[in-house]
Amino acid sequence: MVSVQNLDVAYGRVPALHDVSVEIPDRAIVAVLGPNGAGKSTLLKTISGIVRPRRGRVVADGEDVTHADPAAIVRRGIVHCPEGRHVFPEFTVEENLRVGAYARGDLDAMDAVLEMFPVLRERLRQLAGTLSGGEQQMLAIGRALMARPRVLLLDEPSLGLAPLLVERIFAAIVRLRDDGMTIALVEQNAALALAVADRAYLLVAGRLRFAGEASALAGSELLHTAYLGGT
Amino acid sequence: MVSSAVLSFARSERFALLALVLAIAFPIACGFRTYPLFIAAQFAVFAMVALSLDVLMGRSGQISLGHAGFFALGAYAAAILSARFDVDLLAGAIAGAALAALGSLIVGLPATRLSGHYLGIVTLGFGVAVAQIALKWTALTNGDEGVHVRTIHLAGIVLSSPLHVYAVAFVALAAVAVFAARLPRTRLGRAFAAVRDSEIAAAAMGISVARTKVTAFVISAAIAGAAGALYAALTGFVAPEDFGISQSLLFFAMVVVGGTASTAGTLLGALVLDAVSQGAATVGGLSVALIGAAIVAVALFRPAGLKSLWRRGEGSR
Repeated sequence: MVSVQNLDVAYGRVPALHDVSVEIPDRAIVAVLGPNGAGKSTLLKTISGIVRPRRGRVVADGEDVTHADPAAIVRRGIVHCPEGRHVFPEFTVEENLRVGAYARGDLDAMDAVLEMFPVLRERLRQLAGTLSGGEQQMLAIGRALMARPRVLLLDEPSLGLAPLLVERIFAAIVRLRDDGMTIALVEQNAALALAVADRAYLLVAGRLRFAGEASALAGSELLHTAYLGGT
Repeated sequence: MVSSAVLSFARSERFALLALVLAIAFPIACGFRTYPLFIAAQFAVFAMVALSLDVLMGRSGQISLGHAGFFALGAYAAAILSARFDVDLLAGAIAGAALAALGSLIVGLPATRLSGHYLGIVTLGFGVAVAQIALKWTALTNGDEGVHVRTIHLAGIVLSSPLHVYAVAFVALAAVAVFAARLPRTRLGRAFAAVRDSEIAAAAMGISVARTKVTAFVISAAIAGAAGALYAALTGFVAPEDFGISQSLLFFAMVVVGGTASTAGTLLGALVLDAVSQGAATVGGLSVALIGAAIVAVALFRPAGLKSLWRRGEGSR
């Protein structure tokens, strides 16, 4: 259980989040939706300790981790899979996966990851920079899974992927949840995210516009006005 | 892909064998004369510094325009310990490496918040500052008169001939080259590359970006410091003018010309630029001009450095 309480975050003088509170219950998929620049990625970066908040707290399993460094947060089992994949292009697929296990120091998750994404097994010795976009996204998720997270923070996993690949990646996300993982899912593709999410939040310009059941947001007008620029 | 990995492994083995044969054949070929042995040993020492700089620049993605500063710390530590207490070369090298590592914290700690041009300026300033301290702290360093090393001995054996120092320098270079070549395939080397390629992804993997950057500085400086101790043993004398900006730029040029993140490339770059600077040493200012020209030529025609002569698909870096 991760909870974010009254978060204010700014980049220099530019505010990114204002008074945002989010609950991520165990064994659930929590979708964080909103248009570009709404602060979705900032929220995940704050939870993983990469960005420091001005105000507010991040609490994991009852402990305040607001000021813990990113490495300590990974060791607590909260692992961030950043937007834009960020695979290491000059590493092979296998080396990328090994880096994912850096904080653990064991490769126990390797078999499960390769079973989930068989294409990675075929490409173990290939440089990550030569993979297709979809393969790189699978590698980025697989690399995050190597740390055996209890909570996975997933940023835009569908970005720039063909529909068939998106389907495969979302099937994997659902399977991870069913196996007991907690997932915070940032997505631009709202319909897709709401179809798999248990809970949903809607961010617009750094402020929370909706918090509740995913199904309630799916039928709501809020979503349309948010994406079409209304307030 | 698997077969190309095997090929490149065989190639690096062949390269190592060739280098070993050359290192053994050279003293015989030059008839054990003092001057060629001295020049070759000096090359080995400079190449160690270039490799240490590539560990920092190529592997961890941090710039240093003041590596002669670390080199100087090692050289002075060993020379002063030898002059005053007649310590063993190995002890001098360890002390030199330790002092340089300590000095690296001065630049390594700000490096956790700086990168690119700003880090370049900080390291440049560090290099200048070390040379100035060596010049002005006369009680310790004798200022521009320099420090004369006493007899050089290693594990009880007096290194009396240039051949001895040559052998020690090349064994040390081989050790550093093996370390540098293997580093990328270790956990630490992967952390370096992860920080170099994406700080966000590295942090997300639980790699402490700040600690990794400082570690790279400490390792790089320690190697440069140990090389400095060897330099003191080789020349028998250290003075501030050996460690100025132009020396730092020479090390920098060796890495850039050879190609960053490549052990063989850096060795080749060191060989080419050492030859250029030796050849031009008699004409004042010519050496610096030629080094500059070499950097420009590489930037224009081989942006990835000399390593792109044998490594494909790296034209852009």
